[in-house]
Amino acid sequence: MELFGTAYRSSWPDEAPFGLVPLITFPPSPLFRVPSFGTWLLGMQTDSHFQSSSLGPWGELEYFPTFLDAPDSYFSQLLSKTKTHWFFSGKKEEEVLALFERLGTPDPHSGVKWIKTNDGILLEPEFDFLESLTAEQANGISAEIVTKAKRGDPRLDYFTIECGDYRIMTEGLDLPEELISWVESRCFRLHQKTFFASSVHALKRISNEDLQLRFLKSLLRCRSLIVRLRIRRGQDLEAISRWWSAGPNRCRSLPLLEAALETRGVDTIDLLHLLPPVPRRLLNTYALERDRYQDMSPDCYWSSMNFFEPVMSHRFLDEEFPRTYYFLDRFEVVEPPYEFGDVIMLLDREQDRFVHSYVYIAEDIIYTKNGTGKFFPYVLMKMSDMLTRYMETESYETEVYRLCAQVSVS
Amino acid sequence: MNTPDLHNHSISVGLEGPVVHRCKPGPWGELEYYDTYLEAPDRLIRRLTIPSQQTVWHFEEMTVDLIGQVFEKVGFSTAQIRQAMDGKRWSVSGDLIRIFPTFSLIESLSPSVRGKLYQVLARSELNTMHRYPIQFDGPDLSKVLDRSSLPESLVAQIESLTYREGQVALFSDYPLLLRFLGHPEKERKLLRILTRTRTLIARMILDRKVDLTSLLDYWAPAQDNFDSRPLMESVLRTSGVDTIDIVQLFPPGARSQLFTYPTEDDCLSGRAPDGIWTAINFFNHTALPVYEGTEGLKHHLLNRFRPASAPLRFGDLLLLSPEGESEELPFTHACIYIADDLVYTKNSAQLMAPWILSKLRDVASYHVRGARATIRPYRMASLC
Repeated sequence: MELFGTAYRSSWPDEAPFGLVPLITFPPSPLFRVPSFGTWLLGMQTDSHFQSSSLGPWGELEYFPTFLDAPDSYFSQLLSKTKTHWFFSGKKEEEVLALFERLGTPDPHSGVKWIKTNDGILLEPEFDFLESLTAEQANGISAEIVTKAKRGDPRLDYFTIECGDYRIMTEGLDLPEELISWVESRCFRLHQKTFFASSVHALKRISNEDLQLRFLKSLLRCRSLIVRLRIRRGQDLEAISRWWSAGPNRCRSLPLLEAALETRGVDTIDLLHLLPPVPRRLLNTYALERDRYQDMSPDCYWSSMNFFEPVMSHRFLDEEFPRTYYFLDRFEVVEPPYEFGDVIMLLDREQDRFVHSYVYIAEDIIYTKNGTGKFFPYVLMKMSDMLTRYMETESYETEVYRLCAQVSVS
Repeated sequence: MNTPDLHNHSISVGLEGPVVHRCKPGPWGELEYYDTYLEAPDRLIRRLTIPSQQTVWHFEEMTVDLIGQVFEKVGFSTAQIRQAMDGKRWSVSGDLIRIFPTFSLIESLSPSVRGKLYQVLARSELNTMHRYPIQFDGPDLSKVLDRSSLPESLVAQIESLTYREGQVALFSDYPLLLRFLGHPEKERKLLRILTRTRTLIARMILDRKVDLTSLLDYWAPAQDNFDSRPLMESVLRTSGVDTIDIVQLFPPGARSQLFTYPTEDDCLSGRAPDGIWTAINFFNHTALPVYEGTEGLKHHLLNRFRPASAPLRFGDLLLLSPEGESEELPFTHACIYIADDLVYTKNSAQLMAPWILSKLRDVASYHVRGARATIRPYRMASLC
């Protein structure tokens, strides 16, 4: 299970159907802004009931920030974990000992089980040893582990705290202040992101099962937006429907838009109605076990590529999928202004690495699945909020693709 | 048999204000809805061939005498019979007699006579407009055409040509109206308006004091295909969100269909989705190719569904048939129970029929014209 959000595929850089020519750099345009924590924090902390987007060709949108929590049943595996594992990838015993010495920890040979592996050192610290560490020492150890971590390694269990502030992620979960403060003290910053790597330790400190569940939810909850299109009499329906009818979505949503405009009392319609069939099916839901194909689960790429498909296609999970051919045949690179349904690729230019892909909706709202696996729902987000999860360096760039006009549509 | 209480609990807010209706409170929480009308999109309207202005009545395998008796039997006056039997307006080829009635004859028919005659004409596939008349979905025709920006004279003309079967208003004389329009765009516009389908935009009013567990029990039955709990929990604790569109609580397939018209993608199996397909596939992750008339339909239904008893639950499948029908199958229509007297349905296999929310009694009167409907509820076997 992959607990962190980046949907990295090792095969991607070689097969990427695009060069890394920077078409957009941050900040590329007013549309794609450098990520800002401020937007989200403001939304959560003020009492204003909703945030309204500026008017644009998409009409007028209003949106409500919210959190999605995975169903309770998803957490059984995490709840059953009883041992903290520290895996020092590629390290030797003396290097790990030097780290403990530098941090001034108690003797790591007492209360810690040491296991040598082919690719590093695995430690199993006992609860009393963990309790004896200061927050600074614990975070020093965790930061070293995360720095060297290979993504997807099952021996790791650390969490990226979305938006960087754990306290915000606890809203509505009714966690005790003592627990929140303790977790905050065990959060650390690395690569512009905030991490927490003491989940099993924290679970041991909590005796109440219900509280354990709510605590885990706080680590894995996902920010989302409930978005609605405002309906005002006299609006230019044609212009608005043009925006939402881009690509193969044409005409699907028009009947309801027209009906809503003519119906007294209907002053908003849920954005769900304006999406193509596949995201309509998936929005605000979590991936299901049946969506797994062998050991592959829907990820950001699967989610982006399926956006305009009439029915979900699992070919985007195929190992041997001819990505280059498929991509070049169906998509073209575009420049601003961007349209509803454009696919945005986030790329790490320095490491020649694909980082994430998502779909442009309107203003700075995107449709995204922020990770592989069941804990990452399909959501609408502010682009700036999504980027706080992914941005590690300033070298990230985006490329924007649009389904070719000649791709047959119904 | 379990028939839902169809008592109307609508309220209107002011004469000029928004017309919002409230459902009866129940395990579904508090629901409000607005009546609205969907019009078929241009991509479908453009596929329709505009007919000749000249109406044709086709009579197959009938003699001249028999046709004369038909006119008499349905209530034509002597003058009307004389007009209709005018040989100059007849064309006979083999077993087929075509009559080209004058505009004045068509206009002179009373709704009752028109209804009876068109029932006879509907027996022939050649009389397309009579066999498949436009059904104005809703009790009040003026409401259906309200705000349609049609000239009043044209609305009056449509009303005068409308006939009824039970509570349903039917219309077959589109060709007659063409002479008043005179422009292809106007013809298409009228065609669009005539495709109007009544539906409801429904929302749940969020009450933070509500018992979330019982609400979730209703809207999120234990299904392995979807789980609306995360969203429900999320919106209930989101400040400022006072209502939620109930489409958000629907399973994936229905979510993607509500308020849309079928496309070619929906017809790849060779058949267009109909009421049966819509109802059987409500909870399905992947739609099964099961349609009205599909071989083994009864077996399929009884294998996957069990007769349900009160109280009805979200997602129950309702089979509609005319009262007095003793057999459970065949049935006239199937739809999905949502809450109170709201159902999710597709009223025919036609591409012009969208997936909609509707009131159960409207669906019943649409499909069981002029008779009382028997409603048999079924529940997914896995939910029983």
